[in-house]
Amino acid sequence: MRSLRPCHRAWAALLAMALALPAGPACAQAQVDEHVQSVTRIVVGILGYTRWPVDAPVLRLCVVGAAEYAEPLLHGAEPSVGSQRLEVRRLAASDAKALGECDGIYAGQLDELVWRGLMEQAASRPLLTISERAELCRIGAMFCLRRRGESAGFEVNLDSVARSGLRVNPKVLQLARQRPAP
Amino acid sequence: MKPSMESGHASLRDVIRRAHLRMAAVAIVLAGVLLLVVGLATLRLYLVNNLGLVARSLAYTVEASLVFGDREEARRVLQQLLEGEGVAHAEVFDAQGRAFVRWTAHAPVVAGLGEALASGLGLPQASVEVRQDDRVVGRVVLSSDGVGLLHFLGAGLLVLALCLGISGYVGLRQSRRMLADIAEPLQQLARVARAVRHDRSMDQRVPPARIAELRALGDDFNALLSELQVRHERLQQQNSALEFQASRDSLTGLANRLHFEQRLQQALADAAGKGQKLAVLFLDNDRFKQVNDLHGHAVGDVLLKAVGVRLRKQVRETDLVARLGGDEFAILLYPVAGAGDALLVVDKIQAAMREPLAVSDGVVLKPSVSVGVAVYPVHGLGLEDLMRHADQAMYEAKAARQSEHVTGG
Repeated sequence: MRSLRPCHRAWAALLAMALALPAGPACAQAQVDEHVQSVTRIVVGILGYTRWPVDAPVLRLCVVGAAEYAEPLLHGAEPSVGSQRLEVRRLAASDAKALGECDGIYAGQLDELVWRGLMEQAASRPLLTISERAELCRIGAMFCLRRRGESAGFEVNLDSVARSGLRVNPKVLQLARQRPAP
Repeated sequence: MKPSMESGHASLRDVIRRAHLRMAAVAIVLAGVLLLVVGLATLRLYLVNNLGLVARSLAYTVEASLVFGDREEARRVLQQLLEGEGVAHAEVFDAQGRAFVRWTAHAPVVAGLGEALASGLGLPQASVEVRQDDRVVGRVVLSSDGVGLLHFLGAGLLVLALCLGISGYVGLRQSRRMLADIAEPLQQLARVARAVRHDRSMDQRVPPARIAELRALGDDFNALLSELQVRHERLQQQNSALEFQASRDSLTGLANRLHFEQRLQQALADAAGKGQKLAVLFLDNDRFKQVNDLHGHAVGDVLLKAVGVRLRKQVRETDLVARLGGDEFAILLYPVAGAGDALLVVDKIQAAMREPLAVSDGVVLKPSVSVGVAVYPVHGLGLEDLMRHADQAMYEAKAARQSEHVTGG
């Protein structure tokens, strides 16, 4: 229910009381929180609907680059995805050895060249790729987050999904907004 | 059977028709209500299953939306999946039991009624957990709009009414046919009975009916009629025989005095009406007493018979010869032109008498009669006058003949 959201409620209360105090910053902060939450939810959801060729007890997600919404993933209480334990680590893009052990990569703000380098390294093994930037979906990323109003949505690159060697549940694909082929 | 019956007495037609209609109505209503109840129970089961099925498929489809917290997608899925599936309300709750999305059908006019009916029949809500693998991520709750039930009930009642109408019509037709089979033979029976009673006509018979009992009744009735007819005819024969005997003289077989007088009376009335003439002849055997005394009564009887036969031969078929009693005879000649005709007959009679009569034991008699004539209307207008005149004339003739005999003999 849209009308019950805290932000709108606040606005309604303010108007009703005819107060001149600006409530803008508080409301913006609430929106950001909500967006971050839904990003977390999406990432966990994608992880939950994805199957790796080998069922490992621990799922390693590596955050690369300046990630805007990854805080709850890194520090939040999301210990498991289904029956697997979730480990989230922040890595430098240059740490090739550490990246080799990742099951999935969450990419923040990342240079295209760096990204391509990452992709070349990962080409030989199944790797889930989620990007905060929609542009990366055109150059190899499987899922890209995008703002959709106050909450988050995501796009999917079906070619990348097909090439990745992972099995992604079609239910996820239904939710995604497919990017038109370049 | 007359349609107008006394009050309190139902006609056969009414009884049969009412029985048919009642039977048809009871059968149809019983079968219809039973079918309706069974149908409703079956349909309820089916609706429960269907609602469960829709709920399960909704749970499957809405799973990803729940996991990703995508309300818009969930709404789209609900709309896509539930439209036209007989669902009134749908609610999706998340793992914490908070309402995630709600959906309500665009209520048609009958939906409220259907929901009331569904709740009346105890149609439960369908509640299904949404699972991602083994983890419960939410819950789907559906309630039926009962439109299916409403349609079934409406169609069922319509068909029931239709069946009632059809069976009523068929029942009426059947009762009319049955009436024809039962009432028509009874009517025939009544008609024949009435004919026997009023017209005494026993020639009519009841035609055979199609129903065995009525046919037997008709046959018995016909047999009874035949017996009655036979008895009636026998009685009539006896009557006419008795009547004949009463008007005859037993010895000669000629008419007796009573009959002669009756016929004469009729002839007089007829002659008066037509202006015609008739003649009455009185005859008396001469010396009959001596024949009796000499040869016995048997010979006397033979003589009387012979005279009767000879008299009969001298007149026309339409004329009447009678024995008045003893040795007296009388003849009615009607019509005649005048006294001449009568005298001509008298001459013929006298000629016929001249022939000798041989009686069995060698005795030969010579019959002889004296004749007196009276002619209407010359010698009288009434029966008495004519007969007296004829009698008088006869005695005069006898007296003349005796004196002639005396003088001649």
